[in-house]
Amino acid sequence: MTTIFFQQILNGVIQGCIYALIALGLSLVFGILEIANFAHGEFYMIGAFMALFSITFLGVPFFIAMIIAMIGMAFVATVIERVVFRPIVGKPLINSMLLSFGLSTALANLALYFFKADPRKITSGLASYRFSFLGLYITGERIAILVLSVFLVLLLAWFIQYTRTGKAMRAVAQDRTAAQLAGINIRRIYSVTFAISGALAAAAGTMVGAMFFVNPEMGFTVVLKSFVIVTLGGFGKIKGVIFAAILIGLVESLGGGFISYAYKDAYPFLLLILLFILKPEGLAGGK
Amino acid sequence: MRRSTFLSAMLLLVLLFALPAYAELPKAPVKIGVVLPTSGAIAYDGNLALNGIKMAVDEINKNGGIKGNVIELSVEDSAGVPATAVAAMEKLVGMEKVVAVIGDFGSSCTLAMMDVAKRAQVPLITPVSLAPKITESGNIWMFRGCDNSNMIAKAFTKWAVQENGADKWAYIAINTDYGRGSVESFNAQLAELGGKVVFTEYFNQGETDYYPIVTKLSATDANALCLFGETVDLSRVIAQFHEMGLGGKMLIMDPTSGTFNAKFLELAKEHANGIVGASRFVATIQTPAAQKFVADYRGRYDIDPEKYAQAGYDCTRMVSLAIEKADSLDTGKIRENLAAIQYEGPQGKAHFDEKNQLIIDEYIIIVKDGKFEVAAGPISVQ
Repeated sequence: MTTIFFQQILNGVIQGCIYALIALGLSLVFGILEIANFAHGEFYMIGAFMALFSITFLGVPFFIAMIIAMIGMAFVATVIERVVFRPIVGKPLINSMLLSFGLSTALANLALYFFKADPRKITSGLASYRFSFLGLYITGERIAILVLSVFLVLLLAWFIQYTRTGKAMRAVAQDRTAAQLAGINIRRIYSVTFAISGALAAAAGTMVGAMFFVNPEMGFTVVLKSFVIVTLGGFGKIKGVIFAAILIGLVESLGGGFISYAYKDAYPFLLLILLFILKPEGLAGGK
Repeated sequence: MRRSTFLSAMLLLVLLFALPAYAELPKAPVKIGVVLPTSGAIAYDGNLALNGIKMAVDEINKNGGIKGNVIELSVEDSAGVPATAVAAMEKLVGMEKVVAVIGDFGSSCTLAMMDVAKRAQVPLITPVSLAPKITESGNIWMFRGCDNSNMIAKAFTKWAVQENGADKWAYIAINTDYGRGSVESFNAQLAELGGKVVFTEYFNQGETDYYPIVTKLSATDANALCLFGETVDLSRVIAQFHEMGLGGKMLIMDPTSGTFNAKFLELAKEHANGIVGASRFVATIQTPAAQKFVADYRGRYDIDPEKYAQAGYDCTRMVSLAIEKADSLDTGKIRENLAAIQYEGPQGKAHFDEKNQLIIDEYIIIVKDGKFEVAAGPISVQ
C-alpha cells in the first residue's frame, strides 16, 4: 500500500511539472500584459506538432526536436502578440478573453484541417528504458521530463531574477507607466514575454506528445486546467504557480488513484472552489 | 357479343399478367436498398460493410442472379445521423420500391429506421448495430444479421474462465453507456461461471494519463484485465500498463474487439501482442469457405475483409436467398423466408431465432506478431 502511495505521488509530481511549464507562460503573460490568453493551449498543441514534424521530416533526435519546437513557437507567439494582442493591451480583460478564445478556436480548427484529427505519437526512444527502485516504476522518458522541466523552470526563475530583461519584465509587471518612464522599452518586453510563454508551452507539448499523443484538440482541456493553476498560485507569481501545478498534479493522481478515476478532472475544480471559500486571496496571499 | 368476347379476352390477358406477379418472380431486376454511413465520422467503417454488400451482389448477378433476375442496389448515405437514415429509408420504400433494406451501421440510426420498415412492411436487416433493443422490441420486420453483445459476452467469458483460468477480473472501461453496460453484462456472465471482479475503473473519452489507474491496478491480484473503449484511449492504457511493469502479469482482454484494427497495431506496436478478444469473423479463420471469401475480397479490394465486410456480404446473401425461396417480390413472403432461413456463409452456419436475432458461432481472436489470429473457436453460444 505504501508503494502504491509513493508511486501515485511520483506520477502526480511528473504530471505537475508539465502543468507548471504550461501554467507559467500563461501566468507571465497575464502578469505583464494583463491578457488572459485562452489560446495558450494551442501554443502547446502547435509546439507539439512542430516537434513531431521535426522528428518525422528532419529525422532529428527528440531533444533537438524540442529545441526546434521551442524556438519555432517562440517566434510564432511573438508574431501573434504583435498582430493579435498588441492592439488590446491595456483594454479591459474581457477583450483579451474573447479575442484569445476566438484565436484558440481558429488555431485548433486550422490544425484540424491541415494536420487531421488522427492522433500521432512523438517517439523519444526513451520509453523502453524502464527503471524500478524500491518497488517504484519510472520510464526513461519520464525521468527526462522531470529533469527537463525542473531545468527549464530554474532557467526561467534565474532569467527573471538576474538578467536585465528579466528585471525589466518584473518592473513592467509592477507598474507599466513607471517602467516606461524609467526608459524600459515595454514593447520589447511584451515580445519577450510571449516568446518565453510560447517556448515553455512548446516544451510541454513535446513532452506530452512523447508520453501520450499529439492531436489538434490537445490544447482545450489543458488551458482550463492551467487557468485553475494560475488562479490557485496567483497571477504572475512564479513560485505560487509551480507550487499550485504540483499540487494539482498530486490531487489528480491521488484522487484518481484512491477515490475514483472517473471524476479525476473534477478534483482540481473542487480544490479551487474550496480555496475560494477558505482563502479568497489565493494560495500565495494578496498582491 | 363481340364486346363481351373482347372483354373476356382482356380479362384473360389481365389475369395472365397479374397472377404470375404473385405466384413467381417476374422477369425484372430485384431492387434491394442499402442505408449505410458513406460520409461523416464512421464513413470508413460504413464503406467496409458496403464493400461486402457490393461483392455479394456482383457474385450473385454473375451466377445468373435470383432465378435469372439481376439484383439492383439502391445505396443511400445516412452519414450516421438518425434523421438522415429515416429519410433514406422512406425514399427507398416509398420511391424506389425496394423489397428489402440492408442497414444501418449505428444502433441509433437502425432504431429510428425500424418503424418505417414496420409501417411499409419491408424487411430491414442490420449488418452491424449491436443495441439489444433492436431485436427485443418485437418488430417482426427487423432482423439483426450479426451477433450481439450478449452473445459475445457469453462466448468470451466461457473461454476466458474455463479454458484460461482467468477468474479474477479487472475492468478499465470508458465512462459511457457502452462501457458501463458492457461491464454489467460481462459481470453477469462472470458471476455465473464462478469468476470474480477485483477492480473496476472508468475513464472519460480522450483521457491521456492513466497512471493513477494502472498504479492502483498493480496492487490487486487480478489475473485478467478487461478493456472496453476506443482505439486511441485503449492504446494509451496498454502503453502505460506496460510502463508500470505489469506486462505479462495478466491476460489482456478486449472482448468487444474495439482495438482490433490497423490503427491500434500502429499505436500500440509490440504491446498489442497477446491481447485476446472475441469476434464473429477475422480473415485468418481457416475454413475453406472463409478462405475463399478472403481471397475473393482481397482480389477485389486489395485489403483483408473484417467483420463489417463479412456481415454486409452475409446479409446480402441471406436476403437474396430469402427472395429466391419466396419466389416472389411480396415483402411478406420474403420476410417469412428470411426468418426461417438456414444459411451457410464464410463465417459459418447461421439462422434467426424467434426474435430475428442471427445465431452464429463466435471466435476467440489473439494478436500475434501484429496479426489477428484465431485462438479458439468456433464457440457455440446457444
